[in-house]
Amino acid sequence: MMKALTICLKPTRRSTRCRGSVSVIFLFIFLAPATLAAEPGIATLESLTLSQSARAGGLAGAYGAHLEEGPGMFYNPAGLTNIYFPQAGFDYSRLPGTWKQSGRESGPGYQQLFYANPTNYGNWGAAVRHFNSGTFDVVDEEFVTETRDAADTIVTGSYAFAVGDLSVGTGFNIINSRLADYSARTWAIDTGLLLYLDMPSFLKRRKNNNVSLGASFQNIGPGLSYSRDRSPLPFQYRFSAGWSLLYYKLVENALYFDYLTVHRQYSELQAGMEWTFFRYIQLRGGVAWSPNSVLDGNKLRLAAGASLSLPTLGNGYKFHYGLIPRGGETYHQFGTTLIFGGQAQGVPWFPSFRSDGKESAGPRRVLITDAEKERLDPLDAQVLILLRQQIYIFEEEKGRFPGNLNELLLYLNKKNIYDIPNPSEGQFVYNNRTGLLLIR
Amino acid sequence: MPAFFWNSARKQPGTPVPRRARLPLPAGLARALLLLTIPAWLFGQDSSITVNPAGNGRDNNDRTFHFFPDSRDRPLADTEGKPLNNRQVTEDFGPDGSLFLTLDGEALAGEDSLGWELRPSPRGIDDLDWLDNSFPGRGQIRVDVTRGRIKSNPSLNFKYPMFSDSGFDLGSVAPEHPAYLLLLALDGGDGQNARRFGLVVYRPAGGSVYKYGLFTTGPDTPPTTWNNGNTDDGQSVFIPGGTRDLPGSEGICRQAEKARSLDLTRGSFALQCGTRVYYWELTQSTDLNAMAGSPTGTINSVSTNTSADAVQDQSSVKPKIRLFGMAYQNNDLKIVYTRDTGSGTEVRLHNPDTLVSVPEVSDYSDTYGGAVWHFGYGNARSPAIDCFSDVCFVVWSQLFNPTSAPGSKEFILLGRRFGDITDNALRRINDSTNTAVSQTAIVATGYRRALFAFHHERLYEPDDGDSKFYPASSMAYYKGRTSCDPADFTPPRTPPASCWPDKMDQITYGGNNGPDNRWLSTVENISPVRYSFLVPERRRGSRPDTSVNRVMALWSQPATTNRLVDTASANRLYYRVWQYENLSSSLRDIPVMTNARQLGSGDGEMESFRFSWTENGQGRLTYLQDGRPYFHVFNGTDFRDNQEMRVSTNNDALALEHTWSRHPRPSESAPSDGQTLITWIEDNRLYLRVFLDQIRLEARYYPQEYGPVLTPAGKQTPLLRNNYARPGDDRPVDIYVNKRNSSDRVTVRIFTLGGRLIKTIKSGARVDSFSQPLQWDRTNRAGEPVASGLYRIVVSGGGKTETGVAVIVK
Repeated sequence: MMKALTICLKPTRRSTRCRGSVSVIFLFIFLAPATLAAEPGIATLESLTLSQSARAGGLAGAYGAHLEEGPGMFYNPAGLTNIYFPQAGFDYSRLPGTWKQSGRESGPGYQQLFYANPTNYGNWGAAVRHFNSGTFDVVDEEFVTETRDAADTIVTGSYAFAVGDLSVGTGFNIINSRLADYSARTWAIDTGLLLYLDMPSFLKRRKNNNVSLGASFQNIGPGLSYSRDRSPLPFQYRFSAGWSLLYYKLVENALYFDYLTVHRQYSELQAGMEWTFFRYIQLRGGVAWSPNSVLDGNKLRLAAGASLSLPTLGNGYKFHYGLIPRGGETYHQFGTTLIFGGQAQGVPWFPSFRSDGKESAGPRRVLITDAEKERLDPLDAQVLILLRQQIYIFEEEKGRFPGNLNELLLYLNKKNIYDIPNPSEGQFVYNNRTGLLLIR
Repeated sequence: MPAFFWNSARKQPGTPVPRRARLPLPAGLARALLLLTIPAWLFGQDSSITVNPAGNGRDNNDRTFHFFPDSRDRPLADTEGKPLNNRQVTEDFGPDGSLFLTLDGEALAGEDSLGWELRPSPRGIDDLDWLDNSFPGRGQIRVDVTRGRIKSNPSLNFKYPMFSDSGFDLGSVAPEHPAYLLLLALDGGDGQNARRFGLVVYRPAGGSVYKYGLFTTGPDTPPTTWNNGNTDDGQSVFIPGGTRDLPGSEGICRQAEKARSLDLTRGSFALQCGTRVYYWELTQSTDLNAMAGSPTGTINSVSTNTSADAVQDQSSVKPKIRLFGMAYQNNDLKIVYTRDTGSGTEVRLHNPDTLVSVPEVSDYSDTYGGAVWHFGYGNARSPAIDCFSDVCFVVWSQLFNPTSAPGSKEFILLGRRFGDITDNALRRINDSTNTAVSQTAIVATGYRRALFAFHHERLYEPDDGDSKFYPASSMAYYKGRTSCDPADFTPPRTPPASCWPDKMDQITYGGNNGPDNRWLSTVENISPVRYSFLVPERRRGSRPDTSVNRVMALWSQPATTNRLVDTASANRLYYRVWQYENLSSSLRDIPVMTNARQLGSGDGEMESFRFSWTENGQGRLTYLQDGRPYFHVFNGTDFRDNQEMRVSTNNDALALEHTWSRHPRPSESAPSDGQTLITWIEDNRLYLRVFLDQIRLEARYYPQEYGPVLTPAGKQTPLLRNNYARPGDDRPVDIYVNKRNSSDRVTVRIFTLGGRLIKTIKSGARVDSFSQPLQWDRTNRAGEPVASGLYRIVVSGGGKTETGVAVIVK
């Protein structure tokens, strides 16, 4: 069984059908309980559905197909496959809607820490989220007023891997919720799929237009009980799409759409657009529409944000800011991401294509797929096409996948195909699961 | 006082209220406390005065009223919007009972000057009718309201018979012997049919045995029908069936004890008469006459005429059995007492229904009829018992070396249903060898916590080398886990074992030098102090989190050079308070209460301290001084000036008792929040007074130019009430919308915390300011109950928006 699964997951031509079958099985496995959990009624733990990232906040939440940063695991865990470098980050945010308690203003907000790491066996991420509901006055029958507060703490572990152009991810959340004088614990599962496609020809305006499609099913769990009755979690499914409209050296532009439904109680359509200038400055905006009016009575809500990237000391630093006006008030979200050894330039659309090593201070990463090879710089493209071809030849000759990079490079040297001066120095790091080759 | 003020609102008692001014009032409301609250605020600052008619002023019947501003008291503001912090606002009743207010000596009158807006009670102005209907011809409340404002003078005629000043004749109470009053205050199961029961036990002059009788108040016996039974004037209580002899009560009976069950359906009293202890158990019944008229067979003797008692009879000087405590464990009565063994004193627990085996003390145990066991042996003294839910705590101390090296050991016994007491159930928490002798032990339990206190006479050696004792105290406490469900502590449910300590080593003891060990004072010598620790009464499951949070010490002291409190006044009552703050594990002094305070103004010795905490944080204190009964209201953490009330003007009171009770859940038609029954005996008569807890008059004060619409969400008058729904609580969330312009339209919507619309309560509606509050039944638009969580309640209209939060826990 394990052997069959191992063969199935290998990115070979022979296993393509098998991988497709595995993907479908995964889809059903996660969809079935998700459907059962979607009972009509009001769900608890709304904090699981609120904005979890300053960058996502600036896009009005349309973040399900835009997932090369750690908080993407909260929108679609499959997006972790776009994490090419270890990264850690922190987000802080206020959420719309405040109230006064004992004469002072209070309201909800959250803080989160996340870390994500790519490995040869898929990418994983971990996060701790703390959702503070603020303090509030409780008034009893006799008008005796006391102050209470509430908070949710969520520990998340996620894992994702790529099967060809399809990425599959899942996350497990352990949730501790405190509500006034009561507390409760529960767990929830997230799962998601992310598929990269070439744009249909009739929509292509330029050669390298690309599309990503995502689906995530979140908050699948047993519900939460503070005392007696168990309330369901806010099961949420989200369908996402991303479209790279422009891709130039100095200007990039992408458009995102998300449609989500939370526990059959409400739905929302989210749209966001992100511009990248000079690869280091980003501006974004978003709009969300829901048939259910939100707090300020509007069915439409707007958001905006900006990011600044600083490539220094071999690492990348990103600073995100989100701006959410609502009901005459403006709420601010802040976030930062540290990418260890990675590029911090801009926020590229599919960074795997950003292989222009001449301008990059950090190492480059290339993805060996037929669909993307056209976007590589000529030299990289030749190398990668050559590598991929030789991998196939290697497999055919030896009946197996190259066990490691050195084995492959020695093979290439032996064939006089690619001259590696000193392969033992490990200038290449090859991920035989994702098909990525890191050139250091 | 300007004359114009007195003219308009003054009407004679019984004068009908003009029809236009009357409101559609429901009838048949239970009597109890009426809360009326008058807040005044300006630019978001709420102000209110609280009127408590218990003294300070007299009506035309020469009855005295007091105003007790409580913690909600805030200064008013003038028409310019300036707070009146430095100006004197006085409230008082007029000669006809009208309420009037003065500002710097000038009466406040009408909307032209101050714009009083009457907003009586969160339950609606309809409740005012309760007074009229419940006390026809005796009480009347009249309100002239035009669109929410008092039309003319802001007068509120209030003629409520606070007390029934006439007692009934007990017969002949021998003045040289105390008569015991035992107010059990058994309430009915709901607010509609609540009744209070009391017991009086006395020995008539020339009689050989005591008599006991039952009196009652309640909706079934309104004052107009109290002219019954043994009453003599139609104004007092009655005793169905008369009084009966208390069997076995020959001689002088002592130490009246009482206990109530947590669900307020049972009560017991006990007396130690001669060598025996008698107890009598009363069960709340709807058939008053049947219950009170046939008490036969309910007198029980704790000790039977066994051989052991026969041995004890060898001592003819001191009683064999002393009763020290009674408590209900759910509905099972527990009695703890000491018994002389000839060589010492042991602590025993009378457990009428269950034979209990305690392994640790089995060597000492012998059983009588399978119902009695003892656990302390030798010089045991001062046991106390208290139970909450299914757990009882018993504490006592034992003397040793009483002559050569006095000291004592203090014990705590934990019993869960007294059927599964383990080896860890008994714990010695203190060993005061050669340092202190424990005098009295106190225990109080509450929701997930228990508090223990011991009084010592601690040895002190001053410079002159003469060893002396001075009073001190030590405390121990247990605080349970916070994750327990409060509803589990309300019978018939029982909390899981994890909510109570399983082992006694989980009890924390303050230690001699610990933060929880408090000395009353460091004095130079012995003070013959009479003192008592007082702990809050237990609460029902609704708000149990502050159930045991205060401890009060009360004592009186004569004028000696060696006194506890450095004061020149003698024989006055002093007190000191400790309290838990925010349910923390440590006791802290209230900052303003670091020193003992003095109460009272008399010089006589004080007796018969009775103290109780009410659920709103107030305390009730009664005592006798020089034969005069006094009653105090303890407000929050402090007594205030002029809160002393002379219950009676005579000087020959024999006994004084009070009890405080409340309905478990006041209903809309029964605004009773609680009342204090005060009984006393003087001049061979039994008297009863009903002290209503605060009558609050709420008014809203604002200048005319202040904008329209909404009530600011402030401390005094919040936007919401009952916005914390605990498990099992099905009360709706009350939403107070007080628009000020008739043209204002109000929208009230419920959102999730994330801003999703749950329900619209009102949409662009004209809401009457003085109607009942809007209510959210905690359902969504589909009528489904919403899940646990926080919900925003947003009230908007007239260009303003107020947001409140409701928390729902399931």
